Amino acid sequence: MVTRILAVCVLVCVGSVLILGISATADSEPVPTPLATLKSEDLVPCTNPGEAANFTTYSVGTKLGKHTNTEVLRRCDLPYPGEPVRANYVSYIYGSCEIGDGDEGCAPPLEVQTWPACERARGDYTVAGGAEYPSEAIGEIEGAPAEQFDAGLRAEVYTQDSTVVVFGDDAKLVREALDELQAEPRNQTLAPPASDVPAGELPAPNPDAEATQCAG
Amino acid sequence: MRRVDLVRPSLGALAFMVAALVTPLVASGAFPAFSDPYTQKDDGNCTQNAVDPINVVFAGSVAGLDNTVDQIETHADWHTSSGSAQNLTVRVSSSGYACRGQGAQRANNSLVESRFHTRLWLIPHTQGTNDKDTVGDAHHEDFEEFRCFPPSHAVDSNGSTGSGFDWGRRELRDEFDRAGHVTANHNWGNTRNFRQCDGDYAGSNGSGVNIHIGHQQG
Repeated sequence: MVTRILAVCVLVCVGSVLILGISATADSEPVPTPLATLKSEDLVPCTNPGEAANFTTYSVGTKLGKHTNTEVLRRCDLPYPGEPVRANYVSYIYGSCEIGDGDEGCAPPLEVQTWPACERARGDYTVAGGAEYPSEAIGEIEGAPAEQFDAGLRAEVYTQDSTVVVFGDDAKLVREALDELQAEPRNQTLAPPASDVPAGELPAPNPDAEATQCAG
Repeated sequence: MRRVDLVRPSLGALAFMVAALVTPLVASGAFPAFSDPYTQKDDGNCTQNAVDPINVVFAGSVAGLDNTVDQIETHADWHTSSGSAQNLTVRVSSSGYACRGQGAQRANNSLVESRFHTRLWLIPHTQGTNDKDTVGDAHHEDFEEFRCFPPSHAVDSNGSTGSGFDWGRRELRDEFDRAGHVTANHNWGNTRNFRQCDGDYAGSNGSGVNIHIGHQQG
């Protein structure tokens, strides 16, 4: 009788452990993000409208194939509590797109977006559980490491001063853009790409594509 | 012309790429575990017609489509289901993705008013598991009666406090935070810009929020 009671207890105990174990692993909650705001030493100060950007920016010239530069955008946001990034870039838009009926926008076929290197680096991207966002190394652009993301529809080049992000409608267009990257003159205000920038070398590569500290 | 020293793909990688081209599924390399980072127009095969950034993932054992919709209605008070349709390349198996139409949408106002709005897709690969994912393209959009023809919605353009994509994501995060759900912000880097019908541009700041759903609503 005692043996039977003991056996039942063991079964119940083991069963409880198993059930609890299964329950514990069934629903892994995300780690909550503290509502801390990005620190100023992590950011490059925003420039005023009409001022030149305070980091080297890149384009693919006035056009790439049939895609002509149609817009130059400057964005520099205030940090938002709890968010790991704030937008700070100069963007060259190439080509046009057709907006569908209803409440839709559209993405122009090619966009070359430049961020300060200290505000956007390979090591910044994560997904649930802290896992790294997947990418694939695709070699170097004049010595600067380059990676591709999202089935080749996004590529990034990590130079010492800036991170260049290329978005395109197809991977071939993105690769063609990587071949034609040119640095825009540092002292110019927001303007269409310079058409006569000589195809020289990119600035020194960022030896640490994972992260670079901003000067603050 | 710059010399680009690219890594040469191996024969195995080449074989994989060829196989991927002939399969009905899109090869991986998109967002891990759920989807492409951008939605697509609904009149194509999910290529070359990106429309909105994906910026929210509802995740958990009961984060299927219907319960996620119930939770959005309850916590954010978004009850309207009007809006246009879009597609998204979603993960359908451990090794493949496919182009699928949205499963649902919710907004807090009608088609002819400014509003918060999101479309939603259950990730098929997570269906039937204990860790479901339902993703969305949350945004705030203005009803532009004069700047768009015909009058339409335009996502609020980029500004110092973000774009309409950022505002929509934050609204959902804040409402679910207030309701006691665990949320976590990540940097996904999907900062591509989208031209709106009013001629302005809007893009996400690259943040994506995970919102945990661990209980059935109602």
